[in-house]
Amino acid sequence: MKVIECTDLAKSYFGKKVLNNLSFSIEENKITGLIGRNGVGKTTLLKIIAGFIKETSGEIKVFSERPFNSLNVSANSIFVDDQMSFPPALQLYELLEAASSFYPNWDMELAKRLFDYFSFDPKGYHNRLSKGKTSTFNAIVGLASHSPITIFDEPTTGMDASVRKDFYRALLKDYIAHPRTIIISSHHVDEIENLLEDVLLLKDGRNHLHLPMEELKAWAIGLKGPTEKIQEWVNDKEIVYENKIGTNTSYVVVRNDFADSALQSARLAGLEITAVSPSDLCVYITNQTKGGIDDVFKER
Amino acid sequence: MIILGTLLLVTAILIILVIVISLNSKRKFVTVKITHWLLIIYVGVLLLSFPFASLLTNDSMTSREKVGDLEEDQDWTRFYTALGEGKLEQLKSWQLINEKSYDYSNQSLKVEITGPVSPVYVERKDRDDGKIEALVYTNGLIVSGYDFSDKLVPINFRLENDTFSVLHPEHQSINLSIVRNEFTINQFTGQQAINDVSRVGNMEVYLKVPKSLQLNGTNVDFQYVKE
Amino acid sequence: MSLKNVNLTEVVKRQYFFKLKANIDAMSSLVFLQLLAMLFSMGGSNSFHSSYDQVALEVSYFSGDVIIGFTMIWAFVTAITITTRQYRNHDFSFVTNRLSSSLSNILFLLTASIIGGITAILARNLLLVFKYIFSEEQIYGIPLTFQDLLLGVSATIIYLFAVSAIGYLIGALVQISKAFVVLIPVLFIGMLFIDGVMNRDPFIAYVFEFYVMESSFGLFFVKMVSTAALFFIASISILNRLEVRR
Repeated sequence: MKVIECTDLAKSYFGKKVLNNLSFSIEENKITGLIGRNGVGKTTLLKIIAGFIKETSGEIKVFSERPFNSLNVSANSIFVDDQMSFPPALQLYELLEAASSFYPNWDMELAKRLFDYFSFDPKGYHNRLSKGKTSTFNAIVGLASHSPITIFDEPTTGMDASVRKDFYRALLKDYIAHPRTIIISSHHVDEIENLLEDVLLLKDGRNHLHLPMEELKAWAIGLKGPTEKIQEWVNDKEIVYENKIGTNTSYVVVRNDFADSALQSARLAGLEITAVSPSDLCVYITNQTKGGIDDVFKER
Repeated sequence: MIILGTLLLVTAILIILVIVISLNSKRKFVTVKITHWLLIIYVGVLLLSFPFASLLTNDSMTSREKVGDLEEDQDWTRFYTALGEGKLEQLKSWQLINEKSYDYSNQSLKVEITGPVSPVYVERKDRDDGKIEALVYTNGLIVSGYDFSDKLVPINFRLENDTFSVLHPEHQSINLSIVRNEFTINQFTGQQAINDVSRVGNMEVYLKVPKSLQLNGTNVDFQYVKE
Repeated sequence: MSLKNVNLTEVVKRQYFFKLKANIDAMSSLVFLQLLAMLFSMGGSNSFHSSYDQVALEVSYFSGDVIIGFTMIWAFVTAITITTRQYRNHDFSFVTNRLSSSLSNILFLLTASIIGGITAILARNLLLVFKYIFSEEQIYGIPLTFQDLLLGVSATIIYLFAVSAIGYLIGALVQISKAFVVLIPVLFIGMLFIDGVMNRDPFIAYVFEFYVMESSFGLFFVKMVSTAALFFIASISILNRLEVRR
């Protein structure tokens, strides 16, 4: 069942188009990663799905309803980021109680345990938490809500490495115990690689790639070797990324539509074949330029 | 009234105690509970002050004469007509604010007034009984429909040898504090606006003298009552 | 996860109780404002009479008018506050839509008006008690009859509710565009100015007469409540389209 269907979605802010002809659909009970550069429109898309902001044109359907002002969508979804706004007068335990009164699937047991595990003070106040603790608390609320659609927008902002690890683990465990549709947008693709089932990659406000993680891992291939040889082999291909190493060597990433035999001959010709990790691949694909940061410092 | 004062003091101390205790109890009651307590105590104090305030203002008002709504002009005329025609029975008993009686058997009497010039009403009695009765009447000091003429220092008299002095009191300031209902009540009950002083306590002198007493005075306007 | 269907009434009810707890600070500011108003009322409003030189009469009137006035300001400001972005965002951390958000706000404002109305009328007694403690004067007055008390409380509650409706609408307008912060006062003063120049009664006098001079409680109720309803409906339709940026 498609829980989120998006057709030709467009969103402009002050005349500038952020999302443009965006179309995709998300099946239920999958963990999807939303990847893209800063400012590509990830948060915008997620807020439209959550019903916070309106689309400029196109169609978006969540549970077959338009999410803006839909009570059903609000009751069955939750949007978690570090900007989640809570009344400052309520203490943390009161916020959990409020959440339990609103969300029909709320798991107070889980919330309390996570709460204690991460050493929160029940009588503390949300606006006095540090950045990392805020993200952690918000993530707890998101997890314990057991909402059929759970959206995490950069959920690990400010969290230290061990807390991040714990969060991913908790997410996975709870997801397995209580399957639901989860969308995570994050910059740390390498960290969540093993968590994601699908990847939705945005570029230029469009759906650039939407694949299962397994396919993404094998989507591209990296070739390294003498520059002329590389040129031969990738002449007719679309280069995702290239980088000159030293005077004569190049590293190039291209789409992996080589036959196995072709790869063998490439190896024999002296080229190094490597797999490309999803996080690197995402960076290369969404790159605005062909070169790298080193070019800024060349020829100075 | 002392009871009232002490009760309120006790309540205030209780409030402070509660706040201090809750602040000290390891921050357990802070903020959330404090605002609850604040509201509860405040409402409690308000409810308590209801009967107290009623007690405070009760006696002083209900024992006063309540004056009905009379047209000011009509009322003015009635007062002065009654005085001028000697029809004292038309005036209410509370309007008499001073009454003195003097023995005087001389033939003539010199009358002096210290103070503003105002008419002295004189009624000649049927016979020479050697008594002068000096009365002071007021039209009333009516505020919010209640009379406060007991606040007035009345005109006084002195008889020395053959001079009768009418002594107007020094300039007097009378301050009254009155409770008014709020505009949200007055809107529907039609109570008067802020200027509801209807009579300002003007006083008049009325003398009852023996039949053939000669009265003379410089600058005294004798109004002889017509029978 | 099974999909749960919710209805508007349920959500509004839960939000309303949530807001009662979350906005408790509004109540403490009510208490302080009323105490402050009592302080200002300690002098009373004075009128001075003397019809002749000898007697100068000064009457000081004490009433809860200032207290009610301050409470009306409180209701107005509270209503504006809950339309601000921060407060609207609070709802979106949980289950809501813009309609339920406004409806629960209105219920909250109604509750606030009730509390404000009861305390404002009762506060006059506390004022008298303070006056008694701090000055030796005898204060004259007739104790409030139960009927007058009921009348006063109901009328004050209605005034407060109407004032909060005005505040809510102004708050909603300002959320559309900050320009209204300037526009509304300018419009208001501008109209008064024009009325002055044209030498006719300021429109505010007509408004005053229509509402405040209404002496029939039934008519008053209908006028105020329907005006408040209109303002709230306008506010709801404005807020219903606003994006929540967070």
